[in-house]
Amino acid sequence: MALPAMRLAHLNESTEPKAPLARLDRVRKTFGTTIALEDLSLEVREGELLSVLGPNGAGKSTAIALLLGLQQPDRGTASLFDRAPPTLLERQQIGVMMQEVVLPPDLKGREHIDLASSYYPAPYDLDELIALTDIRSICDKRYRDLSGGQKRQIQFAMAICGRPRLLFLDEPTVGLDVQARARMWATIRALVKQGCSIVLTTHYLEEAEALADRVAVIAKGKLIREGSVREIRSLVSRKTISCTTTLSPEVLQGWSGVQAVAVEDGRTKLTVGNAESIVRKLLASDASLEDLEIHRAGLAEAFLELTQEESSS
Amino acid sequence: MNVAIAPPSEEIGGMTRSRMLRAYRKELKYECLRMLRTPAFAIPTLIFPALFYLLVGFIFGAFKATDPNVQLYIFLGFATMGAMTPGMFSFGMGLASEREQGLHRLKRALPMPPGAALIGKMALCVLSVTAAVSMLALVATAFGTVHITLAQFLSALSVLALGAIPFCAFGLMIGSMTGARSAPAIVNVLYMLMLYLSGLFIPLPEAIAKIVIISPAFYLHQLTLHSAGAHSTLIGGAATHVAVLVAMTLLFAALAMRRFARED
Repeated sequence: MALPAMRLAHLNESTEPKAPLARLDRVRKTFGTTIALEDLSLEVREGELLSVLGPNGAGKSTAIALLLGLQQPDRGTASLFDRAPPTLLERQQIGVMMQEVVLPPDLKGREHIDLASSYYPAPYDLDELIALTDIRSICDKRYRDLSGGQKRQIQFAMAICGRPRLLFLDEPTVGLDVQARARMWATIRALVKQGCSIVLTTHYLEEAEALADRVAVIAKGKLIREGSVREIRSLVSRKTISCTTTLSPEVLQGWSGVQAVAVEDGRTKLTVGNAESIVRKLLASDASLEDLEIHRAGLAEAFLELTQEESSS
Repeated sequence: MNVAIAPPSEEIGGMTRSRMLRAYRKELKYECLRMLRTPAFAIPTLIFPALFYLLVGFIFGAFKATDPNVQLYIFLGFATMGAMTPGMFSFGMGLASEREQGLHRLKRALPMPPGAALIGKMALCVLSVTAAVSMLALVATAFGTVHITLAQFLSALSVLALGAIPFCAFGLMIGSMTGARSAPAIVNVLYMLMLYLSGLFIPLPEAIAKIVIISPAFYLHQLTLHSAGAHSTLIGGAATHVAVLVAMTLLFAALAMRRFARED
């Protein structure tokens, strides 16, 4: 599959306005004296994968619960397919994978999926779904006998069984081995390609980086930033240059444009703003320089910086 | 954009009637499977009334009574107890743990047809009561400790099967209000208290005898006596008993729903 090119094309389109499938409009939600969400607005648009990120306790789960209509906002509106609160008709168009759910242990994976399928007007054929999600080897085992990752695979199949237009995935790949995670990512990408919109919450920032069209960063109950992965990543302009060089850290520290220098395991690491000019200078100053690598800040660094800014403000 | 298009007339909530019914059937099917695959729960629930009947009858001398009306009274008392058990325990304790484990929340988010999970659980309780009371009748007939015609038995059985429903509602209320760890203790205490206050097995002291009117078990026992034609032991009319049980069911269910509505 020529996925990278396809994803880039998708990224470029992400700035176009699309009709929202689910929306939080200036919502406030409190629990007792704790303010969980404050003046939060968020939209999930047709055909996009929106990743909601934030530190623990930021209000992600509350935001999702409001979008799902499981809780009502104290102020503002939370709507699903323009309906607040959602009825059965709206729910038939969504799929949900929650984080902390213990399914009845004595039923088999296949039976759990069969039951969830019966709630939808036009679900996938059971065998087709089992093949699509690659769970043939585990679906006839009792749920209690499955590993944590295998349970997530069953829950994922339950979430997509009704061919949802909008899918909510809360930490879908926790506990999955590398192959199962890659398979789930591929299925998620295929669903988006088919026009399914997805709201993904995850602690794995590389997951959001690999899958999301748009990222919303929530901290302390507020939306602190939203944009495409590229936009969020570019908020952190720093880059890291690492190399093996005879130039001393003291000398490098004195160069203009070098923000920090560290030596780890014999390799010198420079944190810089403009990497190109420093690289030219490095190569000119040290003919024996080798192992040169330039690392651009990823979503993880951007996320850390955004949430640290927020907590220090 | 409003996608909530009005459904065609043969559809309910965006699904055809037959698909909707299928969801209810699947809930019942998997509730039954869950129970059958948990024999440690299923077997005691089914044989408990019969065992307890034999224990009390032989050890405490309840079978010494020769009056057929007294025999029937005792038999139907244990049958009533059998009708209380699945609703209070499987609903009360099962629901409390499902709530705590997030299953209840997940089903609220999914397009499960209204009350499908609860109706599935209730239908299973009705089936369990039918099995447990039939087992009790087999044992009692085999030991010759009750003389009951098939028509009397079937009549009482239908009352008891439906009589499981108020206790499902009671279990629902308890399950909506308690945690998984506290539910077993609370359900056990309330179950014993309800049995005692019903005056089913132990006559209450004269001073508090009228308190039986607060126990749903008393009304169900009276209704089974009506249905089996044991008129000499009746207190009050059948219509009153039905009305009280229906009112109690609605009250318990309403309190549970109010509790659910406050939940996240």
